[in-house]
Amino acid sequence: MTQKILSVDDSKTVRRMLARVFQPYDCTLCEAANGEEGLAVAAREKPDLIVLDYNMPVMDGITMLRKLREDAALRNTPVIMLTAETSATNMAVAARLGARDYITKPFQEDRLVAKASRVIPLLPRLDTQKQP
Amino acid sequence: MTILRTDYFRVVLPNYSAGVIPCYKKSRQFNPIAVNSNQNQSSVTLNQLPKTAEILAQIGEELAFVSPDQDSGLLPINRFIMDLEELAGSTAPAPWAAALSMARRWLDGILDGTGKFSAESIAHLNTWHGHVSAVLDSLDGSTPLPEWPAAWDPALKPKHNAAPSAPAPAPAPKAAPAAPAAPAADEPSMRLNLAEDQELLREFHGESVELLQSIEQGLLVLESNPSDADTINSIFRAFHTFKGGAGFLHLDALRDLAHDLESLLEAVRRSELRINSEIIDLILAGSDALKLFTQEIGSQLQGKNAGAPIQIPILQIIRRVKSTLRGEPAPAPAPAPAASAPPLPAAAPAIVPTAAPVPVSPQATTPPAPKPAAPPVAAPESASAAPAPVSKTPPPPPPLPAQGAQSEAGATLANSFVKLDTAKLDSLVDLVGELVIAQSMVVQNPDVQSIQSLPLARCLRQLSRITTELQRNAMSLRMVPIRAVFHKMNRLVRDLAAQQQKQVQLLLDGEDTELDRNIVEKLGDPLIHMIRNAVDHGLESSATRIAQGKPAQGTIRLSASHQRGGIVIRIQDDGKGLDRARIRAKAVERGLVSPDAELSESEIFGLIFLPGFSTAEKVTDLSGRGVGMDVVRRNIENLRGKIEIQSVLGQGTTFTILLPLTLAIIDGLLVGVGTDRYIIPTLSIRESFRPQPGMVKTVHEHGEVVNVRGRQTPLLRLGRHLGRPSKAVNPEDGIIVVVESGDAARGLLVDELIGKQEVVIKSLGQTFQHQNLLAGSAVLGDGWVGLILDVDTLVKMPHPLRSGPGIAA
Repeated sequence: MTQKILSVDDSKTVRRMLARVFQPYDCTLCEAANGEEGLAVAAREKPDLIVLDYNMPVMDGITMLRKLREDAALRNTPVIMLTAETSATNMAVAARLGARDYITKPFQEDRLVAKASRVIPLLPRLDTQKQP
Repeated sequence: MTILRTDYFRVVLPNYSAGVIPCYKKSRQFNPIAVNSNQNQSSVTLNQLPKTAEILAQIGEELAFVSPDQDSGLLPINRFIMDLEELAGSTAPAPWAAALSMARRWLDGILDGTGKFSAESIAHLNTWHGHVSAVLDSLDGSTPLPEWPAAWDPALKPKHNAAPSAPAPAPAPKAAPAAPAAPAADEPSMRLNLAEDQELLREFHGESVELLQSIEQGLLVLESNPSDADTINSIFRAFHTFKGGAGFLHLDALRDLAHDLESLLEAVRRSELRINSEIIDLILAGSDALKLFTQEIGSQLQGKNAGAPIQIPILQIIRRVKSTLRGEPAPAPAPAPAASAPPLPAAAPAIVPTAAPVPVSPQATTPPAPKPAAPPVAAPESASAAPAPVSKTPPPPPPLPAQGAQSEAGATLANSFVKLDTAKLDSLVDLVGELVIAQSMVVQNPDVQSIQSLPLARCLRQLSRITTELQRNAMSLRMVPIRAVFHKMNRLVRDLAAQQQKQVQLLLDGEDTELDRNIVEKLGDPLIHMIRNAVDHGLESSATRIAQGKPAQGTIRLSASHQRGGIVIRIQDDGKGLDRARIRAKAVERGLVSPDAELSESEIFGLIFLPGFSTAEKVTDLSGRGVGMDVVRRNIENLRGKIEIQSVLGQGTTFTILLPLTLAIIDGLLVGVGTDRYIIPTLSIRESFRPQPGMVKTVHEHGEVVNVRGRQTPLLRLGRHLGRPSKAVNPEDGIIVVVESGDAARGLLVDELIGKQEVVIKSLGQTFQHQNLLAGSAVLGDGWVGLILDVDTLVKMPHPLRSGPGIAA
């Protein structure tokens, strides 16, 4: 089944990069530029996975994560946090808020896919799949 | 949702030592729990048991990937434990809640500290996972509640206030903590997973007994002839097989011992070590230890001390092997540091100490359901064993009531089946085959046919009907679906994937395909080998796969189907494929082919089946020692099957195994040459035709070739080849049967085609053993004897013409 991934990041470059990373897989992407927007899109799109940036204007990732956990409909949506640098504190905060995983920027594309594929089934896109 | 009552926690076993961590379980069986509605004690609930088990399995998977000084997996595990906490709510049973709070404490410790795993925290979490898995198992009352591990904070230990019938720990448990401190506690201990692996353990036990016999026999040969390469190989293989089975069943101590003994023999095989009496003693001591394990497994399978940890002194043997391998003088056989350390071979019979259960107060084992059979049986046993001072073993848990019930159920189940020696079954099928032939001989007998009698005709028809029915029945006795073998692979793939940190999915297809049970039994090992190879060497790591634009998860497709009058089994992976250049280089390096040999693609792939060939750089626990593919091919050929490889570099490899439906009967084409009758197995026939003039040409210095659909195929005049007279002088007078083996083919010139026939294979006996063109013989419908041709040998016969791909493929 086609998976829906929401990327929430204020950097357009990062969002575009995520789109490219997940392009080979059977999934659709939607985007939001900050936490507030992210919550709205999440409520509307019901994504299977949210890739969430830590630092963003208007509403940061941690606040959005907290609000997600308070929302009965969205509280179980898995979230992978994107953080700018490794910080045990950041990670601990995200962990306590139920983040499913985290990855530091700049990230290796295959590591992100590996982590995501442990959360949602990532199958190759059907049109590019080679028939044996 | 399942309601559990406090009742079920009364089975508190004060002395349950959490020895071996149960392996991660993916699928759990949930027995419906009988709830006595009359009881109105306060109930504790654990919501959504299946969901809980699923999360637990996911934690297990994540744990398999964590490593010290890394944080990978920390957040996932944390989140899963949060999910468990949420699921448990406030009404969870005390042991469950306590275990969760223990995990929470460790995780908080990591999160507030370095944010990375340490060796210690990984060990904690692994023990924890084993513990909560056991707790979860105990919640349906089928297994006892595991003891709170001694290393854990006793303050968090759940109080069994809900289980008043559990007595306070008797003096026995007090003595217990001291016991593991005794020397033997260093010895690894194993616990059998009787509930899940019973079938596998049974097979393993049977196989081990055979292997041990062959090891012992081999050792006898080696004593008189220390350099006998065949015997060294066979002992090596036996240990290798032993290791594989033990590893598969997570019997780690066994596996380690077998691994070391295997290494020892590997050194002998490579002539790095020479067999002397010391080495023979060492191998003997090792196989004695393996034998003790095997015996203990056997008796546990019969319900004796079921579930007790098995502990056999092996460390010393392993140490001796290791020092021998390092070329140091082997330490004295028994450098016993203390009197209590068991001397090795001599004391062997005395050291199955685990067989003696430590006395446990019988009240402690009050079974939840009235199943009185088990405890009374166990009680006298433990009573009699009580005086024995077995201080060197950790106390095994008392006999588990549920397992007693299980083996009882097993007994009634067994009553509706007859366990039969397969040799008897084979001879029955064989005899029925003969009967069918005898029957047709009677019916076709000219004298009988001349009798004009209606009653006789009726009787003969009756006879035909019954024999046909009988034959069908006899055959079906041996036909079993391949499912069991296929399903074993699920677990193998899961374990291997976890070990190798790869993502692998196994797709099964055609599990209902039936074939001869003799074949099914012998198919297990080759399949295990090939699946291992596929995971170990075939599939790339997730990162590499993604880099190559493949899905992170590798796929292995295992399928079975009826095809070409037999069974076709395919093992297909989407991994890196076989690297022809690398295989070739390796084969040249190993001296298996000469550097300037011209090899076709399939000939290069065929090299991996040669003994001693292995492209794996590292020796893993499970594969990569260069035994494997040669054994696979031998096994398949012994089943009269064949194996083919297709591979595209970067896209994957497909192994195709072609097998006959049964071993006893062969579907053959009956051909005549002169007065002789030959049977060619239908499986290897591509086509047959009467050649037109001009189709057969003699190529200078290359003999006769026949043009088959534009391909020049070497022609073999069967009569001339076998030194027997034939009628067809010109090819146009006879028939050409094109047979194939691998991608090589030959045209066989015969006089006539007589017909297709199923025949019962008979061995040719000693007289014909020196020749290999004939695979056997069969009694034909008219009473004549037909000889079955061994097509593989015929096709591979040296022929002036090379069967390169351009000419004969």
